[in-house]
Order: sequence, then C-alpha cells, then structure tokens
Amino acid sequence: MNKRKLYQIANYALPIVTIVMIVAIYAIISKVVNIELIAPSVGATLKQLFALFGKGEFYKAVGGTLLHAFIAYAISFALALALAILTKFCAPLKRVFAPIVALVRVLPTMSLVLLMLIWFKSFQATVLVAFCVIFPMLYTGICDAIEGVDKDLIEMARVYGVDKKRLITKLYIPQALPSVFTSIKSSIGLNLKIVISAEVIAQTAGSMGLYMQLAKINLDTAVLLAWTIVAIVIGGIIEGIVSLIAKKAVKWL
Amino acid sequence: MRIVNLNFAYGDNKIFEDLNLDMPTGGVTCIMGGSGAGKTTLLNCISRQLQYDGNIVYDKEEASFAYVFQQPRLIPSITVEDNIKFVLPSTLDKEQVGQRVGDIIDKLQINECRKSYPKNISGGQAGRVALARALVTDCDILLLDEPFKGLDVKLKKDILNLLIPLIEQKSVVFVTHDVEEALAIADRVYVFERKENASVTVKGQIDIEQNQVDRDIYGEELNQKRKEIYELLS
Repeated sequence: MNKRKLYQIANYALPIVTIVMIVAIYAIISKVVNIELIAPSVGATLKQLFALFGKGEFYKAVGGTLLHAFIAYAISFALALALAILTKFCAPLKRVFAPIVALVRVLPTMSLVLLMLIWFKSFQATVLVAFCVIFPMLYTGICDAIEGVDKDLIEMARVYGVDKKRLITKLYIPQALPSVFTSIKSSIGLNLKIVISAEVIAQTAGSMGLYMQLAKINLDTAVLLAWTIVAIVIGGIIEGIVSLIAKKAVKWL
Repeated sequence: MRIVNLNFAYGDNKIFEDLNLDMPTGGVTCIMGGSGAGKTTLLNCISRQLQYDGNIVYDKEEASFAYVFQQPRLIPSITVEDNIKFVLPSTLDKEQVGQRVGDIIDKLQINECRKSYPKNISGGQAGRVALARALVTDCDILLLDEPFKGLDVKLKKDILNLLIPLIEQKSVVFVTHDVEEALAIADRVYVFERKENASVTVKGQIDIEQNQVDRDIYGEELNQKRKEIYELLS
C-alpha cells in the first residue's frame, strides 16, 4: 500500500477513532459513577435515542428547531450581506453601524434571552437571540471578505475601465467567497447551538430545546443525552453540507 | 503623447517636478533608470491612477489604456480565456468577443492553457496571458511595466518577437531595467535619475530609428546606442 493511499485511509479513519475513544472514555466514567441518573450507560442512551426515532414528536421537534435555526440564519445572513455591501459603497455608514454591532456582540446571551422573553413570544425570542449572536459575526466576516479582495486586481480592472456589473460578478464575489464561506462555516454550527439554548430557556413549543428541558425536569439524563446526540449529528450534517458547497463554489482555490 | 510640467509627490516625497517628455505617437518609448527613479509612478500618472499637477497630452482626447503590470495580476477564480475576456467592453456581442479572444490567444500561443486557471499555468504563460489581456482591448496607449521580469532569456526573446508585430501603430510606454529589451523594441529611450531627497531628472534621451521588425541589435549603430545607454545608467 503506497503512502498516499495510507494517508487517505488515515484521513477518514482518525476522526472515527477519536469518536470511539470519546465514547469509550464516557463508558468508563459511566461505569465508575454507576448512577444512571448522573451518567447513564452508553446502552441506555442508545436505547433512548432509537426510541426517539419512533415518536412523531421527535420529527416535529427537529423540524421546529431547524425552522428556527433557518429563519434566524437567513435573516442574519441577508442583513449582514446587505449592510456589508452598503457600508462598502458608503463608508460613513460603517461608523454608524459600528457601535450597534459592538453592542450586540458583547451582550451576554443569557440576558439577551431573558430580555427577549419579556418583550416577545418564545418563538420570536428564540429567533431574535440567534440573530443577535450570529448577525455581528457574519457582518464582520463579510465586511472583512469584501475588504480582503485583492487591491491590485481592483486597480487592474479600474485601468481597463471594466464596468461595475462585471467587476462585482467576476471579481468581488468570487474573490470574497472563500472568506464568506469561512464565516458561514464558523457560525452555522453556533447558530444551531444558540437556537437550542434559547429554546431551552424560552421553552419554545415543538422544539428540541423544549424536549431537552422536559428531560432535565424529569431527571431523564439518558433522554437528554439522546437529544444532545441528535443535535450534534444535525450540526455535523449542516457543517458538512456547507463544506461541500464551499468546495464546489471555490474549486479554483 | 506629451508630458508637460508634470508634478507629483507622495506626501512630502516629491517625485516629479516640472517633468517634460515627448513620446513618439505610434512608437515605443522606453523608460529606464534605477530602482525608485519614478518609472512606475509615471505609468500610474499616464493611466490616471494617480492625481497629478501639470498636463499629459494624449494622442486622442478619449484615449484608452491597457496596462501590463510587473505581476500578471490575473484573476485566480476564472480561466485564462475569461481573464482575457474580462477587460473587453460589455457592448461587444458574443461573436466579436470570441473572435478577438481567439485571435489574440493564437497570436500569443497560449491555446494550450486557455481553459486553465491561473494557478495551473507557468510564469511564462502568465506573462503572455497578461499581454494578451492588454492587446485584446485594441487600446490607444499600451503601458508595459517590466513585463518580462523574472523570465529566462529565451522566453523573453520569444515573447518580444511575438509582441513586436502586435504593437505596430500603438503608442507604447515600456518600463524596463534591461538594456537588451530596450534596444530590441524602443524608438526612444529616456533614462531617469533620482538623487536622494530630489525629484526625478531626465539624464538622457536616445532615439533609435531602425524598424523593430528587422532591427539588428548587434549591429554597429545599436552597439553605439547600447554603449550610450549603459553610460547613462552608470
């Protein structure tokens, strides 16, 4: 077997080895603790996980959480993109938005959730909390991506008198895309995490967060762990899809 | 093209002070001189990238430029062919674009890499693509800023031979450090000098009257010019 093939196999196998090791360590801890309420066994957790698949509410909750995450992310991305483009062409606007973005960025997530719950319904609060965390990340990332477009290439296009439409479609968008995807990759998983956290506190109807909260109240740790595994898998799938799209979109890199 | 009383400074750093140059219309003007002698700055003034005082009188009122920079400056996300198309006016129809791009690709012999991305082509090919991008525009003024920097002697000679018939009737301003390149292509050579804390002065002007196509660069006349240029540069 040549080195290249070996490297390819290791590339796929190593993450699996890591996962197996984490599960093994948890199994040992569970065995040592030996209290199902605190650290349920791997077997009991998997049993609860498979039990979830058989329930209609499971799919409703997953769908609900995904919907919240999608709405929050779509609004954050659309607004971040629009504002980043606007501030590129109108520099003073960047200064106008700077304190707002800075304020939203440093706001503690928990106070944000509690305030939103006072002011809005639980569904709206969940979406708004995720928006407040994700929007500044995306806005800063997209601004940096636009600023990072090679100045030499812009200068070249200016000398040749290239029109604005071509400048944007052939130069700005493709050049900014890799950095935009980096921002998306680092924020899309966090978005799901924030949405679920907000759902837990807001007890949003028909959501994964609500079922996690119920499991906690019922001291059903195995169910809580089963929902956690579901959240991890969904997060992983979403990040995988984004990575695949990024790979296709910037194949020239 | 004439440069009349050109003044330009980077902050307090004065580069040009009442600089005057006369460049032959439809001919090649070479600008030579040491590093930091204001050669690239002059090209940037001519291409209106820099704000200057004084006058640059172009051959045409609405003169169009093409600029071959020191680095090829190819867009990495599009193919060689699309890099060449990138600078063409959007008013041209698809057929005209195809015809012009195809012609210049053939003339500069870059057919084999037309569908490649810039990262997958050699330095020599990238240099030719940058030239193709400049020449496809049918510009009035062609600005060349050390376009052959880093290329080996044979490749440089090959590209110069390809370039000479393509720049006939164009006003070309060609910045180079290489005397042989200047002798091969120039109708007029200006040698710039810039002493510490002073602006650029024109140390000398040399005119070459032989036609570029059948120029004998090792003949008696050009050997004399070579000597003069080296003397001015030293």
